[in-house]
Amino acid sequence: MFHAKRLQKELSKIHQGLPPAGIHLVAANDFQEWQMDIQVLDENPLYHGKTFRLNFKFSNNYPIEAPEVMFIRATDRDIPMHPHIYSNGVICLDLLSSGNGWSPVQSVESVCMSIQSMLTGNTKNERPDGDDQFVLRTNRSLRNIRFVYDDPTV
Amino acid sequence: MSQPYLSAHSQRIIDVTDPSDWNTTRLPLLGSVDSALRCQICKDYYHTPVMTGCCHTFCSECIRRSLVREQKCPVCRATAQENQLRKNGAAQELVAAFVAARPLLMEVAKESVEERRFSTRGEEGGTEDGGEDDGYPGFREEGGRKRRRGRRRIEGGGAPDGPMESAGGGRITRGSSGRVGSQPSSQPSSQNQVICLDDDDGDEDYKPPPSSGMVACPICSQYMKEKRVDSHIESGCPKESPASPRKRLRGGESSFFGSSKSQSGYTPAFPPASKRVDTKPGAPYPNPANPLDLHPLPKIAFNMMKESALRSKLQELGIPSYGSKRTLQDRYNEWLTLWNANVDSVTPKSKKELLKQLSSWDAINRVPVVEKTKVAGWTDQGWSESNKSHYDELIAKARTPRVKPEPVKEGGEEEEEAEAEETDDITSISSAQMDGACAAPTTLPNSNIIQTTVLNDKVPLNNVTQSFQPDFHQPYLDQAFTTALHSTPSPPPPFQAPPTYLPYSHVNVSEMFVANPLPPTTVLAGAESDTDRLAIVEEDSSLIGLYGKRKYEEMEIGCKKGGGSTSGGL
Repeated sequence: MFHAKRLQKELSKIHQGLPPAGIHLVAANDFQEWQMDIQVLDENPLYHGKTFRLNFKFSNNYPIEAPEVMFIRATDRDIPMHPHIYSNGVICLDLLSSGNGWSPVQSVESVCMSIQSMLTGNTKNERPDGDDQFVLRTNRSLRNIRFVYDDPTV
Repeated sequence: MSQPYLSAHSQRIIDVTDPSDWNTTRLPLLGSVDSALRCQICKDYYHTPVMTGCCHTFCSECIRRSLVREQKCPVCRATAQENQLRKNGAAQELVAAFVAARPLLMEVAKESVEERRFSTRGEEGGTEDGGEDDGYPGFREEGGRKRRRGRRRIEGGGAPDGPMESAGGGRITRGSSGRVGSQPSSQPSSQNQVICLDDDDGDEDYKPPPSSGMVACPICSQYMKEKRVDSHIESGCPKESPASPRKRLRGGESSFFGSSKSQSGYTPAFPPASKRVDTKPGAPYPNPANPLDLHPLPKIAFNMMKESALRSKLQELGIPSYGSKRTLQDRYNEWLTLWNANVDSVTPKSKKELLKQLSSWDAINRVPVVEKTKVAGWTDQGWSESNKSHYDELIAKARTPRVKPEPVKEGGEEEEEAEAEETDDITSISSAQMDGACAAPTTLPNSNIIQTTVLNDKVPLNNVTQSFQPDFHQPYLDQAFTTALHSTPSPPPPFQAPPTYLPYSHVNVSEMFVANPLPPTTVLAGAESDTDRLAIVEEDSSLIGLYGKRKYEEMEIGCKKGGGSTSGGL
């Protein structure tokens, strides 16, 4: 209920207002899961001309609890190279974890913008350490992954 | 009074409004006004707005809910506590006024766009206005009426809201109940003005008088003597008997309220001083507009409280008390949020309504265990019978490696006997487990593995060349399991499972489920739900490497809890 109302508002805002450049709503069929497309706008050679798809999963406590956000693959959509993005799409970003960086004032739009700027600022064409290992065993809920956030530059 | 606000409230549930609505009108700047009047958590207009210590305003319910999670201001991340919340009357009035005016404003803003577009009418503005007044219970007229009503309320004493404090003079409006619906443009009567000042003095600046030597308990934030705090916390935050503190507080505060009391000749039903002590000081201040005499609930230090005590506490409060301790905690917190937000509210809801809200929360947040297990029309025995062949097959498979291997050194026969015994054990265990409700699927294969590995590995412990290290980064048990099943003549690398981890299976569970049609229901019996248990198990098998021991211990505790809840329910 709580989360539905709030998401309804965000949805109407996305529909009516102009979402920031490079952010598009792809699918929002219910209040559980949405998909957004984001693009990096500047000339960053890593991401130039590419579009990436984000999957949002909302819990019933949504604005209080962070949504689960990860990149997903689709036709023409790949997982961006980034030292904090695993090749299965999991994003290591403190903003996305309840109890760390998440705050209920964030929204789908603001999360997209954060991730957008995280990509924009990146110059390394690499995956995080231990990507293979991590990807092998991540068939579980994102919520249960604990990251250690150590990179203040992102 | 609050009618316009309420009607607008229910209306906006149907069609969602947003600040961006203004973008397309002639008054796009009103969008920022609109968004300034919205809570940043729910993105809706402030509903019973309260201010944090860092002066950010949110709906009472939203911020309380957020603070249960994390004691920080969602906007600026400054530490924030529930007992620092203060009502923001100004915001409330602004919202009420704006919400009441919004539809009309919107209409005007849009119409003028159209007007411009067609640009037909020149002087018809006058008739326009008239038309508006017809179509909409008019701007001015309505405002005037409201103003009048508001005034009447002040004079006549809050009749519509019933048993409100309606004694003499201006004190009635103290809780701003009389002002909610009234237009902000209305000139406050001089009486009203005095009251406002009085209000602010009491509300915004209220701190426990420093001279009284009272401090707030950091947990339940009741006020008490500094000396008492330690023992109070140790005893699990019981309700402080206000006896001695009250006296002292009264003395300390008399200067605060004495004058106003004598001036207005108003004897408040809730003497402010004693009210402050009696109630939890999460109560920003006594709320005389609150006709139900609601007292805010204190927070509970759940760690200090036994499950049974918590359960009876919930019963005492008249809210559902089933479920595990974790559920009870969550429910209490939700109730705390709802209740205390309601206490803040100018137009509090009845307890019945709150209970309704709580039960819908319950419905969303928990899948009742009972329904889950009952639905399938399932019996353990039926299942084990219908799948007997499959089980037998599996058991046979598990046995085979033990018959074949061993280019053994000595005492082959004895061994085989031992094996036979042990396999018997296994079967008995597994069948017992089929009956036993809890955690069967994980332990069933597990016991097999342990047995096989130990058997294959007849080397005495000190001869083990490649001693086992609990290196969970390797999917070693999968390997162990498969090698055990399709045993090769060359004995597998000897290793021994460390005793500490025996109770848990680190087998790839999803694989197990494919191979072994153990019913989900069996798994479930103790767990909250299907997926929950699966998630736990999955976590179990794969997470340890990532999080190390600590996480592992957490899970152990979690499991114990899960088990406890079933037996605790008895």
